Amino acid sequence: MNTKPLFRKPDSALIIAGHGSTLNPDSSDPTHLHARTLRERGVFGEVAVCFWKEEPSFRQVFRMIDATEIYIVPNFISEGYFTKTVLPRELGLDAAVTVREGKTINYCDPVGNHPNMTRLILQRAQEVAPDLAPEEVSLVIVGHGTGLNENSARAVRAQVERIQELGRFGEVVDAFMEETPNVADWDKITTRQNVVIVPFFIADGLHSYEDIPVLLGVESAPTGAASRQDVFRRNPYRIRGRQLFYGSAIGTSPLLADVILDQVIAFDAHNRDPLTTGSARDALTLV
Amino acid sequence: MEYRITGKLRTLLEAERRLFFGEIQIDRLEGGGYAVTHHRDAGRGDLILHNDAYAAREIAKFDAAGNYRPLKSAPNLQRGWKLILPDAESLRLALDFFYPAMLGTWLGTPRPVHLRETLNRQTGMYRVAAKLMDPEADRLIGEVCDPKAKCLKTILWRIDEHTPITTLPPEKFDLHADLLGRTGRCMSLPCEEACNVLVAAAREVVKTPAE
Repeated sequence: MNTKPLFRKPDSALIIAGHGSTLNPDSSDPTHLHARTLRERGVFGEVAVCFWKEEPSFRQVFRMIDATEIYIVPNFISEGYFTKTVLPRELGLDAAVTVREGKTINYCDPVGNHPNMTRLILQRAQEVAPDLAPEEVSLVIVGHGTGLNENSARAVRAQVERIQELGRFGEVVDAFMEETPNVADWDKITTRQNVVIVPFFIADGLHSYEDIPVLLGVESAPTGAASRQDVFRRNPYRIRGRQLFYGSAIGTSPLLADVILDQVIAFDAHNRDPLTTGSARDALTLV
Repeated sequence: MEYRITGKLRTLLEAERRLFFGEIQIDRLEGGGYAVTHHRDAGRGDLILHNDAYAAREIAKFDAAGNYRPLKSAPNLQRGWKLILPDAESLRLALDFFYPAMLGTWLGTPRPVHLRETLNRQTGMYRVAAKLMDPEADRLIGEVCDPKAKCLKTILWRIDEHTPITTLPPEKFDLHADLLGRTGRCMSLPCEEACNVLVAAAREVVKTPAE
């Protein structure tokens, strides 16, 4: 599916920057998946990925790129320590646009910030509980909260407000792993019989298939690697007198590739010439 | 349009019929295209064939025992597979899955960053790694970067400009040496700067009280 036929940057490179993991082999899968999608669409001349905890590192990735114009989109759920401190430092960026050694490097906002993330949440909720009328559902959007992810709570709350405004679901609430309202209290913070949980995370990492299922009460201890996908296959869970549906992390949605493009388009709209801005606005019609 | 890195790779394989790159062997095929195998599998007839560069990512992800390989230059690439790729562009993609960024680094001009600069740059939980003393760093590099057990990259940096690493053999620092001792043209895996594996290990050393 190519939703943006007008948008082509054959002389530019796209770099998708993710966190990655030295422990969890699935952590970088979504970033690689979206890179492949965008590579195959041919929007950019080159598409590369880079990671904090995997290879290629943020330091190495420019070695893989020939293009002189580069867009970097952080595959992070919110602005915070990584997008504001680690990525600029490791990539050697000093502003939204950094010109260095004949290359122009455009540093876009993280994917989680984009309003079009709403569409992914709606689609995920529909996927995990396709037979339910939304008005009979309590939708819980779960974020990390606190610490180095200080802005993840803000990003989750923005999505909750946006989906509440649509008036589609019985109710929409936020919940967090490390602050209140806590996801462990999902049955206390919701009122409907059917509860759909969507993790606002980039990958199905330790949080979404180990920690959150334990907090929800659907697993008694963190599951081993072999059974991790089962947690999403056993819907619905009948627990605490309710019917619970648990979805995988929002960043695993194939639609995230579109949000990556949306961040490039948004970057151009804010930072580039009026001609580009015009066509970019035409293409900004996802939700 | 052919990009510079792809063009250089293609030109290189016009001159050389066979190239070694880390643990892999690349052969230019007579009818066009390239074959990629584990270098110890060359000549085997029972290899599982793949025609897709993306298969390289899955092959490089786990070792033969099924353990995750976060460091792609670890000397434990699994065997038993063969990639047949149609052109230099798909070969370049596959090589970047086996050894991310190494092709572009090898083709470029080396720009080493010494360990002290890397450690001093860290923030957050890794800031403490800057307290690593030179002798501790030397010992740690000898363990974490050991080409026989841990990493096949060629180190281009020092502890600092005046402090060399003394715990690894000379070939570990020689871009023209083949750490696997083969005969034939070999592209090294140049390490321009300590990776997160070493920085994380440095943090552990600093945080662990001396006995």
